[in-house]
Amino acid sequence: MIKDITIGQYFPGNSVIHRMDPRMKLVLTIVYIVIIFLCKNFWALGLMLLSLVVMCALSGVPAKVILKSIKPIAIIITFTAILNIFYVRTGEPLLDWHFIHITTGGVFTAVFMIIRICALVVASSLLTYTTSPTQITDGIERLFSPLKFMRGGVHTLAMMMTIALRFIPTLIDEFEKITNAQKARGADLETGNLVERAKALIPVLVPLFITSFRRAYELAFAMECRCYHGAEGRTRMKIMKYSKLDAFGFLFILFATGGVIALNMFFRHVV
Amino acid sequence: MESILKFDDVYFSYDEETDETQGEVHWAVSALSLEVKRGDFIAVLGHNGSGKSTLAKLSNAILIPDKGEVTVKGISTKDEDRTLEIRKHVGMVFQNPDNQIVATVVEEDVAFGPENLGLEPAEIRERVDDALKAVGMYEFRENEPHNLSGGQKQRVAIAGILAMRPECIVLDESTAMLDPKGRREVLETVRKLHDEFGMAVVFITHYMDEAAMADRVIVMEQGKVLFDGAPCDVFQNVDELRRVGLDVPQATELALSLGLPGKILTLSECTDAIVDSLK
Ligand SMILES: Nc1ncnc2c1ncn2[C@@H]1O[C@H](COP(=O)(O)OP(=O)(O)O)[C@@H](O)[C@H]1O
Ligand SMILES: [Mg+2]
Repeated sequence: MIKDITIGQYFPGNSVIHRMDPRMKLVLTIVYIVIIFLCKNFWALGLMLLSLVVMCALSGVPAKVILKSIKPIAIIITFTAILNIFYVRTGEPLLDWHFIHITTGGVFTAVFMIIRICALVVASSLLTYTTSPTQITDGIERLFSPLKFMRGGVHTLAMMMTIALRFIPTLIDEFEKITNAQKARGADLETGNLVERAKALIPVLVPLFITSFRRAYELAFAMECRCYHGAEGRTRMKIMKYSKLDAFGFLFILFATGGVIALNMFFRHVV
Repeated sequence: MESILKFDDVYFSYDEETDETQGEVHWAVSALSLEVKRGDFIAVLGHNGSGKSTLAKLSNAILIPDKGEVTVKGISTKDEDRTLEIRKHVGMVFQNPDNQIVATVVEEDVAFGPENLGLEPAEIRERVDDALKAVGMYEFRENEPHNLSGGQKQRVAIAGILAMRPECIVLDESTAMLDPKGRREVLETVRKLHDEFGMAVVFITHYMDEAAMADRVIVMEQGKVLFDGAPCDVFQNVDELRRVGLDVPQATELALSLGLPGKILTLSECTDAIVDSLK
């Protein structure tokens, strides 16, 4: 179950998407997600999906991997869709049976919601697949660096994120090791109701917490030994420079945005 | 030879500061004097709690002595303004490789130290490449650390220290969590750093055979230095070492119990001596 979480997983590569500046990728991903939610009809949405497919193809990340990123949120998507179908009351009525009223507006909204959430997840996964976590946190740090007054805070936050990302696989391994050790002692972690299972997790989580504290303590020592002293006077090995690729990426999203605005104006809104 | 690290009658206690009158102070390290010169290869032995890690942490201003003084290239560790300089000169590698790797990509982790020193990007790149080549991990520079073996991770940790271009490297039981293959990799790397780059090495370990390959062995007991000398001399004190919970290398023990002449450390020396005595 835990292994399904693909967020923060990086696929090394050398595609045009990989080579784009992380700052540009971050900004464009956010812009893309905003635009996705501004699409008012299927034409506009189709254009955004098409550009997403183009970007995925350019990235060279296998389609299977990209689609897998949707799996963990399937429940959320289903839930949102069902809620929308039953609660949105606009458009023509399709079904009126006792307390259930389904309208065309509800169905459209549900479909839109599904597509939007999937596109959102795929777009942000594409960012993490093509950008190493360190580059992402660096990108965030540098995007905020002109704001001098909050620079120290952003640096600390970025460092915390880097370390968290670094330790996720380590902690997952450890979680599995402890789970197996407890199972070998006869712990039953898989049966029973939710409360029982949550209780059974306590003997797994307590050791995990304790070793995490020790890890944090040792890591702090190791960082001090390597002369870490915050943002002040720190330089970076990898310089970030905008290149032609970033200009292309920018234009690409700009045209897509223009297209969505035009399509929104020319065709009837459905949501 | 130039002195790099010097302990001068050092005392250190983890206890809260208490009145001198309030009974005994538990010294983690006491009356410790020690000098590491350029090109030294020193092994530090001692059972758990004998003060080895405390010694390591005193050497680069992670801990500051309560009495006495530790100097790194003439700089006292008490001089707070120069702590960074001290840590640049004396690098430290710890036991658990997982807990000292900061970044999610090998080369970015190795760059962490030089970045903290505020070097130019081109200079950092050069140092990172050199360090990764020195430990034989250059091909893995774009990997994620968690996919590496224990020995490889520990070599990355060593490269992270090397990239700061220290003059002395302290390894605190850095082989203790590794399998035999990983141990061998780390040992060979450390040996190479010493032989080829003339780096001073302080190698804290539990394994006698690792200590046997040092030029000098220091045995710690209750925060004090019990023996300090060439491995072959130190390992003659079998009974005394046993008393403090340490062993001697098997070859040495066999040779001593057979009453073979000479000071024997390795298996091949031992077989030679046995063959000689049979002739
Ligand atoms: N963080 C600490 N707080 C209190 N006492 C400590 C701490 N670390 C070590 N000690 C004590 O200091 C002594 C020396 O420990 P240490 O230097 O870690 O020994 P070694 O590395 O040889 O096992 C031990 O008696 C230990 O209990
Ligand atoms: Mg120790």
